[in-house]
Amino acid sequence: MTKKTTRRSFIKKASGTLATATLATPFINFSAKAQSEKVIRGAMALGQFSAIDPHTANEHTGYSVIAAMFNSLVRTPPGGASADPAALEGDLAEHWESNKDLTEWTFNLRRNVQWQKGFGEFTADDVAFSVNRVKDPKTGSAWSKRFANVSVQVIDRYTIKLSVPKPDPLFLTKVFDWQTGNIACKKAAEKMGDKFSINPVGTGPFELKEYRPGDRVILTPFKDHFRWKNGDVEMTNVDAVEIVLYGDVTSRDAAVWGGEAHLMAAGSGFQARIALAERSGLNTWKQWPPAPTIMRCNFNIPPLDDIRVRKAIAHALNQVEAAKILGQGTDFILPQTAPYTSAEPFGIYGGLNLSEPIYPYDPEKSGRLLAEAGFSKGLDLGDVYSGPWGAWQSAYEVFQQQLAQVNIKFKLNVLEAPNYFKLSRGGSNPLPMYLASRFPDANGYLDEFLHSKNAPGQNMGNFKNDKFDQLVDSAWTETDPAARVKMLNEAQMIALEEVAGMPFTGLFVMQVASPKVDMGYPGGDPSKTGLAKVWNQWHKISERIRWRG
Amino acid sequence: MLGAVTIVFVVMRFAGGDPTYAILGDHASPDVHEALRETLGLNRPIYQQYFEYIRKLFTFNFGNSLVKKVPIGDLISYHIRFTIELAISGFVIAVMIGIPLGIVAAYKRNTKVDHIIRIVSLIFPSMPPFYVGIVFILLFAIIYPIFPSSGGGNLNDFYDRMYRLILPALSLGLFISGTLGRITRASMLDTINKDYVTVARSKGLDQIRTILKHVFRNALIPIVTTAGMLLAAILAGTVMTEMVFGRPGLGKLLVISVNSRDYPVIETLLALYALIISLSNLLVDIIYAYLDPRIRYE
Repeated sequence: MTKKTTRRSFIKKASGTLATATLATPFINFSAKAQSEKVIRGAMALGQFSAIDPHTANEHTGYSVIAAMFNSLVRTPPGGASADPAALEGDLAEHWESNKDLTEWTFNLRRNVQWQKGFGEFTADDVAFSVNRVKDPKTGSAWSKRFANVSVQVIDRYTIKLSVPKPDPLFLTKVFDWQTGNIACKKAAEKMGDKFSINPVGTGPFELKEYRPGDRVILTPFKDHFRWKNGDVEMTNVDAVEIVLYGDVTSRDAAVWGGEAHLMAAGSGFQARIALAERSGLNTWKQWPPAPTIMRCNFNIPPLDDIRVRKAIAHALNQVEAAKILGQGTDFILPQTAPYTSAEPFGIYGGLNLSEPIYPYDPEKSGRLLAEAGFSKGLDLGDVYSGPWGAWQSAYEVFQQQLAQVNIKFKLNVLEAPNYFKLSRGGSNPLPMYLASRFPDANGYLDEFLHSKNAPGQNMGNFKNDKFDQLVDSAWTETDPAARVKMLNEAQMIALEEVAGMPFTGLFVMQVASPKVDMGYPGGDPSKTGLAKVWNQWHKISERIRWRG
Repeated sequence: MLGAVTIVFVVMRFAGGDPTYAILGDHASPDVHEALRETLGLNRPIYQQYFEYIRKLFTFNFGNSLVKKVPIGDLISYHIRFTIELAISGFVIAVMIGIPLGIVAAYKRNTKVDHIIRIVSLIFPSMPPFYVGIVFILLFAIIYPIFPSSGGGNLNDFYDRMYRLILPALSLGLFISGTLGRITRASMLDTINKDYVTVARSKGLDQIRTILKHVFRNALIPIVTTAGMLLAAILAGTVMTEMVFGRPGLGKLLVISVNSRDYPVIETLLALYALIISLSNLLVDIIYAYLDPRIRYE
């Protein structure tokens, strides 16, 4: 039976349809508008920018903003670079030279480079200002010590000399596009005072349009950027780049899988993310080099001061199995055999490549050593603390399971970052693990995590060995590459023998990008493409970035 | 209020942690951390920090965020709009779903319809927004990409903001609607057998008018009381919803600030939440008097 259409029911239906159409139209228009905008969004799981200041930023949220906004004296060529100083290219410096002693470095600067926001031309004064700003304790830069011994001399408007008291074969890595190397605008900083930290001005391809703390940074192309203006590179077709803070891993991932955001990086859950990326047509690749995960014993907490107990722990670790579990069948996790395995195809950085750990997996031997140390019934190490990051937790859980097999137990407590660092740096963590990306040089890595001068501090295991310290200190100024590598390898062997840093796994951070984004350099696994890419992560947004299609 | 802000201050200071790690990261040496603690005034005695905090609160000069380095007033004024949008729309959805369901359940009491509504009213509050939110994102942003998965939207584009509000508001609204539905049903059943309802029916008034005018109107007082109390649940719900949907509201700001021990931001936000709850209770009391003329405050 059909219902009769009356005048009243017709008016009701018609007005309902009209109201729905009126409400829906703007959403349809919005959808179309959103699709036509060439806005590249980089998604972050963190909830805030620790800083967008070129000299105080200390993690990826800030780095991603700064990489797009600033230049340095020299840089790694976008995407295809190595950390080898010989492979660096000029950025704000056209060319440079050092004296024979490697204590003085003279840089000839590019001319007609403009600052964003109309602050005029870049000069040597800006370089001097930037170096001194990093050194100044009032700036609050985590990197102030890297420039502590650097003196600056402005030769003329376009020439500057930087000097160090002792030979520094890796000096260029202090002034390249990482951490301390960003050159900021002196005039802008002086004009803005404290507010420069939230209104930074650089010479890079993108300038700050809006900073919304706790939400996002919006960057727009800086049309006068020197590489675009000189015609070195075609100007980008991107309308804006946004670095968006989602505050949570699930939310960030959903934004990328749903097409809302276009770039992200992840350190765990590889299998599921690869499947989702394939389903959504996204590209994934590995960030080079792998970040080492080392387990450390706290020498100040008994019985870990007993070498037999430490060796028992070392023999309980099965790096190959750990890599399989953590990598979930992918090759994003590698077994590690030394605190700093060489990530470079060349040897200058002192990575130590052993075929197997010096204390290989041997549960029986582990048990015997424990018994010798008086723990035949097993050992309970009490509370152990992990940071809140997924990759850390997963690694700790595998570590916990492997130790449990030889009857060494501990209670894992996952803490927020401020508490984790306070307790672990303060020496309260019996087994302080660390998983961190650093400049791929054993010298910096061993210095930061195992040198006695950093205990208490990043040397959370309180490892103290005079010979080790001496080798690491000497390597900083050794100008002969072969001798330097020998020193660093010897230092690593001491750390291994003393079980100060137990190698566990190496993590390739997974980079994910929408096919709509052209980073301007090839992605893919560097070990397969043959490119020794060091910084091929999306955070390095360069002048080459473009919107596809 | 003073009690609430004092508890917040004490709890945060004893929660441990150090905001300098959020500012400097893990790269700086201990002496750099110590210098920054000194600069930020974190080494001062606790009582000095407390009086400074109270002074700032009562003069509405909240100071700057330790980590974000911008005035806290600016931070709140930017983030609060996203929370207000979400809380109001979530509440409206809860009312639009919960109250009609409660009325229908009461009207059809002990029938299949009533049973179904009662089950639904139990399911909704059992599914917190962070769970429903993830399911919605999976369904409507990834598998069938109809809605955006996240973000608060462009401040200058009303439709963009509303578009991004649909999934979060539904997640929050459904969560609250179950409780509201159950309270509405119970309150309606208390009223439905009163004498004046029987009189209204005996006068020949139709069922819908009887239910809406005589039963629902008189059942409103417990519903309003519950709705007032639900504001606290809504504010708590916005925290979870904003995290799941990446909305830059006060809830997300609070979580991030707690994680980084950004004390001034946490303390100001929690004082603001305490103020909102106090004001909402006052508002409920005023609405009582409007709904029931017998209630007068002297």
